[in-house]
Amino acid sequence: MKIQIKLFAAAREISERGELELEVAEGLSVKDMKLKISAEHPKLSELILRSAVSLNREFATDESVVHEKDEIALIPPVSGG
Amino acid sequence: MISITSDAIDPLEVLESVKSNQAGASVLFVGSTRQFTGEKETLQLEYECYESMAIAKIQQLVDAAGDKWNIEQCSVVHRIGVVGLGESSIVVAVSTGHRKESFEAAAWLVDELKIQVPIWKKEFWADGKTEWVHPSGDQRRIPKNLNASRGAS
Repeated sequence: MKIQIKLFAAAREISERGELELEVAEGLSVKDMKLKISAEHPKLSELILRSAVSLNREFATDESVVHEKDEIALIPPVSGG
Repeated sequence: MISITSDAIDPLEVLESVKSNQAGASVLFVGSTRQFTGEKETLQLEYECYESMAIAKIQQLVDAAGDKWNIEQCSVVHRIGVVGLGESSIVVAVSTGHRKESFEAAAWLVDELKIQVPIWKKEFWADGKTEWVHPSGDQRRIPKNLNASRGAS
């Protein structure tokens, strides 16, 4: 399946795009998705280690499973306020 | 009122939005762009957000604050885009029956927003460098699912 991952802040600037597309197997966990992004986009790997992932606008755990229609985002440490 | 805007925020308008005859106290918090952090000089900040999630997260925080304190009205407004020196990036207003609750709730909302809400700031330093602020280590807790944790404390 194909998934799109929204990127923000430093992640967006480092990869010079607002969204990544990945071809992944069904049943992929958030943890494995982060590893796959790091492998395919090594420049993001340091930041990914410190980032959370959201699925459908809610923070996911490492064990959460990614589905094709999910709205997925990489959430680097936030700094609002 | 919960809002994310690229326009300048008028703090008094936000304060006005929490007016209530049931409230004996209102607290207004205004966060603004600071020129010096230690010896480093900031020229301006630029904020970016994941808007749909940020709005949802702020709403969860406001709801959670309503569970913890007896809040009459509550407003949170965050600015995105460039925010110049002295300009407001975030304004939180809370009204409650008594002052202790509005002080506590406003402080809690700002603290949690800085941990839970997907908004990021970029520093434009006076030496020409720019830097996205992505705090690490002790400065930050891992965000948790507020819905799942509600009622737990």
